[in-house]
Amino acid sequence: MDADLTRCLDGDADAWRRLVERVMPVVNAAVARCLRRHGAHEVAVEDVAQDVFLRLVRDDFRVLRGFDPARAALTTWLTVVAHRCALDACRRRRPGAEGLPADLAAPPLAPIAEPLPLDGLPPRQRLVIELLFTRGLDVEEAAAVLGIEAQTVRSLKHKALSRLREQLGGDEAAFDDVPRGGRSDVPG
Amino acid sequence: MSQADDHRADADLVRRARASADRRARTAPPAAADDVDDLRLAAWLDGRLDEGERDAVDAALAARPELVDRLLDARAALATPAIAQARSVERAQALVRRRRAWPLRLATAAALVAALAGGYWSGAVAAAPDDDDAWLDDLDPVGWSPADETEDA
Repeated sequence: MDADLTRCLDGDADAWRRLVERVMPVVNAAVARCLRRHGAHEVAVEDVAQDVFLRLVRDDFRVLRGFDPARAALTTWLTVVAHRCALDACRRRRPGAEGLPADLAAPPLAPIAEPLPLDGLPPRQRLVIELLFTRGLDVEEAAAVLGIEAQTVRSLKHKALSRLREQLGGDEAAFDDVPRGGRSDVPG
Repeated sequence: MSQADDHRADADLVRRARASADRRARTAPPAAADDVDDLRLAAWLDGRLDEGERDAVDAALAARPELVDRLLDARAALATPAIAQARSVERAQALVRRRRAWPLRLATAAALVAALAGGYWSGAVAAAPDDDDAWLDDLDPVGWSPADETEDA
């Protein structure tokens, strides 16, 4: 286990200081991205980041004790926790609160599209199709998100599309009211 | 066929599959996606899940757009951390000092008092005479007898 984390759980304030300094940048980034995605420009990143750390130390580090270093890296887990805290902050927005820094006060990201109900595909293939065709990521971006090689993404995409063709081949009635010709901005 | 034409054809296929699945969904309720807790999602991001667990998270991600948002934001945050203001870091650092310092000081003070009290007691015992009844001799004047009392009376 992370040495600073172990000492933190024993109440070592110096270890906590080091830990905060180390993870604050990813916590800040996750919070800022979430707030921006949800257009919550009036919510201060600093306040939400403080909420994240408060959540970690509350009740004798109850949340922090729930972390398992065998399952994930500390920074990865904290990024996910920070994003959840930011999501909570978005849900309980306070009008008139301090705004985001200018560089983060960009327009919100594209609204969330409905997921593709492609229940006939294996989960990974379905996720690849979701990222490529609903989210509009290109193959390299999807590979980075999934943490796999771009070639693997191409292969998964190929298999998924082949499977869809097979499925739809025997279901021509489904096409009766669906005009052909798709979006031209879909990545490959 | 050009690459752009390929893309359009693929997108068309996906769109038609979606329409078909939508139609099926009208007669069959969709299966509820499992919830993905923070540690599991982090493990997925780090590629530390076995195939079964990974497929479960993949399925949840494909079914729930908000989970994909979390995934995309987490990936981006890990790739490009944001510089934190010193004030923000200090506020978070102070959380433990405030919560932990006073019990520690109290415990230290209690230990010090106990040590001092223990030392005083040990010193007092060490300084005491070995013969517990010796002091009685000091109180017994030489030459005193019950007859003296009778005379006084």
